[in-house]
Amino acid sequence: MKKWISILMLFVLCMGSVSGCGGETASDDAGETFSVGAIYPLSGSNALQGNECLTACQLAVQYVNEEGGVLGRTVELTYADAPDPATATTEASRLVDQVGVKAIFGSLSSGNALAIAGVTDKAGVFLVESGGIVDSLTDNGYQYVFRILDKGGMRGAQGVQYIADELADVLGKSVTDLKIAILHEESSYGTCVADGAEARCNELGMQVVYRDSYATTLTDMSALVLKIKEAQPDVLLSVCYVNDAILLVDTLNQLDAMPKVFMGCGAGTTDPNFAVTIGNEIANGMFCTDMPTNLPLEVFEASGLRPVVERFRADWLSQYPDMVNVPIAAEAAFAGAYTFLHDILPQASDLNDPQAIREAALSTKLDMTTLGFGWDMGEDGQNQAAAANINQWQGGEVVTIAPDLMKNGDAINVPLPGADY
Amino acid sequence: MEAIIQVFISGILSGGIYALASVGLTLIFGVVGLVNFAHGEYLMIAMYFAYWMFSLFGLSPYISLPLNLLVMAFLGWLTYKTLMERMLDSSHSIQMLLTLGLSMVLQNLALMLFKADYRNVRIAITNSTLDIGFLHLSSARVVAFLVAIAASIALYWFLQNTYLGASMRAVSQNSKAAMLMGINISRTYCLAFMIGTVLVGLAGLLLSPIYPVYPTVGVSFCTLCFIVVVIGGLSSIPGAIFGGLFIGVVESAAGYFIGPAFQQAAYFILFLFVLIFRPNGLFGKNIG
Repeated sequence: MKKWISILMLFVLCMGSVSGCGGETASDDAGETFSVGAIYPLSGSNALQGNECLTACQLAVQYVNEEGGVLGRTVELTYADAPDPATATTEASRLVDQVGVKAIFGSLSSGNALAIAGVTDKAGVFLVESGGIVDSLTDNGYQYVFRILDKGGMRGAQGVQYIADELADVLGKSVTDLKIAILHEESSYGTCVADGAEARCNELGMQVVYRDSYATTLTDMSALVLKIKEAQPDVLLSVCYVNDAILLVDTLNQLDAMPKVFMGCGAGTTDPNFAVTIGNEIANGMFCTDMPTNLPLEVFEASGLRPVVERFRADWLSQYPDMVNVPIAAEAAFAGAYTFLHDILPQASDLNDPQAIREAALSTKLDMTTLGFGWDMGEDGQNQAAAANINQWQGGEVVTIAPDLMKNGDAINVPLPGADY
Repeated sequence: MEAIIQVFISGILSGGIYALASVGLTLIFGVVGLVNFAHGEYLMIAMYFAYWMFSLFGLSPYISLPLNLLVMAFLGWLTYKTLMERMLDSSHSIQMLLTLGLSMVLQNLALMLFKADYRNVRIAITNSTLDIGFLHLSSARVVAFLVAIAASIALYWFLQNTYLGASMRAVSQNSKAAMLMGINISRTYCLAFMIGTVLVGLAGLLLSPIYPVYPTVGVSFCTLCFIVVVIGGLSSIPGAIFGGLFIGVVESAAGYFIGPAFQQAAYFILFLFVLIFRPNGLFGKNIG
């Protein structure tokens, strides 16, 4: 009897371990399928964006399969929930060892990206990263990590450069007279963007009058906003997730501490929920440096990507009827998965050989992906063609202000109408 | 100096909400003897209720308050009768596992039903401020603080001056002796659990115009409640009120004087010191 109970328990445990992953588990021994994974935070504080990214990945796989799959092999996607880096490590191991995935799409947060890369690279499995921007992800010498988007340091520096080039004059100040406060969430993501921003400020001679970090679980930002108010910056450059970005703006308003320019760096201030929640009137004129988003469809005309971008936007929005636009994180997740499956893998001489796929990824050069820039992977796995855009909230929409090639509007409300000093 | 006063007042205002949520936890622990790890999830449920009342019927959380508290009382009763009552004679580890499990079930249920979206109740008071001289106080936080303190004091009065309150205190001191004196233990436990749930629900409701609601919003508040309760004294109502206010001020002052990254570390360090030097907390041991 005890033996039977043991067997039953073992069965239940095995079933439990499999049910931790969603989607269909794949076995491509027969050579008819190509198994890929997706790891995003589907529960926890970043679950909102994580679920949005997963939907984008699923659509990418669907489109590729509709076109016949990868070199005739049907792509099977298995997804897993990783609300934190520790779980990301466990889930990556599970997908690699038990499901046998050949590539993983992820992972929204930099912490998760680093955790997954530590597992996948040793196993010769690819991590196609479309969310984590921490610099060290592509500075660690990984062979099988490809990041389609820009690095965090680049993004922070780009935000500062735009302030120096375009906003200093409007504010009636020389670059060296401009005072900037830098506030960031404390993970590697926030830190590397802020490091890049501060380094560029120092290069340009801009005055960094305040810099600090905070935990995203903070429930009251009064103390840090008072410090910002004391520093009287012209510009507040923030690196936040959605929840803390909302709390920050609310507190800035309540304590009469809104600076002349609010420059958000990263997805927190570009997410549609940000403007919807704080109110379009308050958001109007706030900047956000991020990946290109909601670009005019004409941008994709020459590359022939217009139909797929158009279809993706429609399909994705049909699953999120409350949303007006596809969030940046989801656009990036789609671009990473779609480009890798549709454009890179078919160039590989052998889909079972990681080295052949790596060579295909490095040798393939694309002028355009569905994200608005090309694919030109460096040896370190960083897309050299990636660059952030300077966006601004205008009337409830994210409008691209720079670069000129992609802009669909001019900057407004500089300084912000609600500025307090 | 002005900034320091502002920091202090901001801390006190936050502390009022922490105190209210913690008072409920203290009451349940003091009377029923249960460490309720699902406490934060009741805060989450109350916030969702406030959100849906606002979203569907346009009712401000302050208007839907009576209904919200009734629902919380019912949930408290239901939880006690279906789960907690059966576990009262079990070991503490079994009870903790049960409440931890309940916490996970409620979180995932919320995730399944409402998705992970951040949902906000934006009413006029959300962005309005009360300007007193140089002080800028968030109106919603001031209201939350006043209601929280009033509710905590009312509970203290109830425990000190009513028969039911006296029976709760008696049960918390010695349940067998209380039973021999004719106190209905089961009913007292149930009432304490319901009041504790209503109080954390009230805290959630007052938070709803200030803070977004999402399935795991209760987790960080629950951790904070445990720290407050340990600092104040495991089953002391005045201790929980003092602990809440104290943590609010420490959090705010640490954020201002040391740095926001240290805000949470500050009260965890304090928590460790209390555990080492005064394991019973700063106040007494018994309810009331």
